Amino acid sequence: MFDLELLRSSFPSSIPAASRAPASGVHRTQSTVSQQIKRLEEDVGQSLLNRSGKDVTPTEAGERLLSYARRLLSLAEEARDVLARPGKEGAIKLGIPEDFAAYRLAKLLATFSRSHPGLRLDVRADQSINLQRDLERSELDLALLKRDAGGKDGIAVWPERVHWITSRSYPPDAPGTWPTPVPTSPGFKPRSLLEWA
Amino acid sequence: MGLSILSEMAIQADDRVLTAKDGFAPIDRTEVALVASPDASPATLRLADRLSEFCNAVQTRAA
Repeated sequence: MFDLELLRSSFPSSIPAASRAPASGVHRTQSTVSQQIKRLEEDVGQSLLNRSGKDVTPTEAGERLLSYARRLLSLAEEARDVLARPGKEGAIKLGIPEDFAAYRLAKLLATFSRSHPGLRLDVRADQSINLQRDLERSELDLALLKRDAGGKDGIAVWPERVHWITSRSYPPDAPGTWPTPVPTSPGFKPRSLLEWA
Repeated sequence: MGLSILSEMAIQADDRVLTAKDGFAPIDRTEVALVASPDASPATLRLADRLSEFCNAVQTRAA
């Protein structure tokens, strides 16, 4: 088990590239820091700093630990934030397209939810046209939605390739017997694929 | 048996993708957008980051 206070006090002042998590008023002299790092080195059984040259640089193990230290500290900060302001984060209302294969997002959403215990995550799958409308009405905070290519707004946009598919288990009888696809949405407009997606 | 249209991201193992050779070329007229409301909270934006990473990864795999 790592001592977070030890990580916090060892890294910020000793390694220039370190993420400088606020040291919450803790002020340590260089020799104290050296002692802290020695303690860490004893703890992990590896040397973390190259002390031979004029500049002190992290060893490979030091770099590796540093990357974990950043994550550990940022997670600790987040936990503290959430506990300090219970319920303050409230809820996130997320909309995803109906056919987005929600199971693929399940792990991501579960992980996010676990790391934000003060937060309620409401996920709704719906037709993109409804998601767009609800974003505009502030009934959703965030949505992944499909739209005609060339849309303007958005945090990120990915081109979507839509394929015609049929079933492997129940293939069509013979070429030329393809049925005409029938859209299920009553509001379907032939020029737009939004209602399909 | 039936026909349907599905986004690349949603295609599963039992789906057979029809191609231009079958007379069903892919349809490249849509995009997937991640949109946040203008007053999105920091937590919402953090979730948006995670979703962006996810979609980037899916996109890279599909390419």
